[in-house]
Amino acid sequence: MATVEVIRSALNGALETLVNHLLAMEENSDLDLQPLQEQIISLQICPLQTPLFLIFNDRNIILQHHLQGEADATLECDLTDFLNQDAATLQRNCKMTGNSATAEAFLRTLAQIEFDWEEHLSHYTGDLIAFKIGHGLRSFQSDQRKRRQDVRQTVKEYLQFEINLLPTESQIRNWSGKVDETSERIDALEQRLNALISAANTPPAEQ
Amino acid sequence: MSQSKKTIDFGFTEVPLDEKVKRVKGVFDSVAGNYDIMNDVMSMGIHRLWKRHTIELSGVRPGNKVLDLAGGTGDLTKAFAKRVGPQGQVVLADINESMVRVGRDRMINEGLVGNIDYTITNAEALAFPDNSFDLATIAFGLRNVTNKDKALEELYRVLKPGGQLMILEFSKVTSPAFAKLYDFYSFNILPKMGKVIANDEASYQYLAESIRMHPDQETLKQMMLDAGFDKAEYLNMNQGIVALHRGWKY
Repeated sequence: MATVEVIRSALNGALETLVNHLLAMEENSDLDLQPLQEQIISLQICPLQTPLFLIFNDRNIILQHHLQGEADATLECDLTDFLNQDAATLQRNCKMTGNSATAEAFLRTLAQIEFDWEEHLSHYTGDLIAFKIGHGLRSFQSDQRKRRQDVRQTVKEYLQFEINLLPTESQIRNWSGKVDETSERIDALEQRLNALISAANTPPAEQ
Repeated sequence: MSQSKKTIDFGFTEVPLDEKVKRVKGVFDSVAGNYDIMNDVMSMGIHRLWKRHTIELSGVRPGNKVLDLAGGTGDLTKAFAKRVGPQGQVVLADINESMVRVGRDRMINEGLVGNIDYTITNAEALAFPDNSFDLATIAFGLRNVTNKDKALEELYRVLKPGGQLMILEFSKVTSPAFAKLYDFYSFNILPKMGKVIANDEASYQYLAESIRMHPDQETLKQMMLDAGFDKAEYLNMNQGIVALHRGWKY
């Protein structure tokens, strides 16, 4: 268990280094971390089990899984919403508690990040290879998007077809009424039969 | 403990109580320049993971006041200074001037200034008022302290109520099979590496011996409770090669 935690801490450290490296690459952008200075955000991304605390300090972001005391703001959202990076979607779908100004400032900052990784990659690999990698990834994303759309369309058409075969509400109500009526007539018939049996078993009156 | 006899262990040898401080100072004066590189080589870089996990578990936050005792070349100080921010404070304290000097230069070179103070102090007589720190750490330093009980009492004294002490230290390996391998490495390979890299076999021989003389996990936990800590626990890392002890003052 301790080993798992040590590895998790190490991965957290690697993620922290990566995030800060990317921020440093965006140094000339108008990314404004000032409203978040000295603030702590607790980020709970589903389906991850534990919250991640983000401490904003100068132009660095510190990531840690433990915190003494409470965070200034807490955000709970889905991984897909988080990766979407759209401020409106995040504000709509994220559950925010604590200091709302801090939470909103964080979401705005997140939406501002436009990292041109292909440009940075080209410094190491050259333009051609960076373009090919970027093109490959874009094609992959496009294929995935198309596949998701196809699945969604197929399911939609299937359900529409099945819906046409299903009885309408009035048909169900009518059928249910007929069942009740049949049940009442069977009860009446049963009572009639019992009365006849009872009459047949009664001895005739002596004259 | 042979303190009643006025002697103390220095590795596997017994020395007079007041002699240990001088000898430990000699060891660290000797290794200070190559301390970081040797740590990386000796532990194959794993000491960074142990320290990272310690920092992670500390849960330190902006505005906190942290004491990094036996802070040496400042691995923990660096991380804490980034976390506590300009409103917080980190004190890098060490008994060895050479180590503090290396640590201070490193912090300045990395642009970490303003919220770090440096002090040369003896762990057994900390020069800080009572209830001063939210967090105190001592990483790979306690085993070199002559009177560990006194140092723990001092650390308890300077912590604020609610404060936490974290002791990261070599400890007793839990697996007997692994212990044999570890002993072979410590007494045969480690001093030779010290000779090759730092041209100082004796100091690294001492490091290996001092680890074996350090109290095991349960003993140290009890020492912390005896020093006044209201709660103490420990976490073994890498089969107990290192243990992280945590104590709280309520």
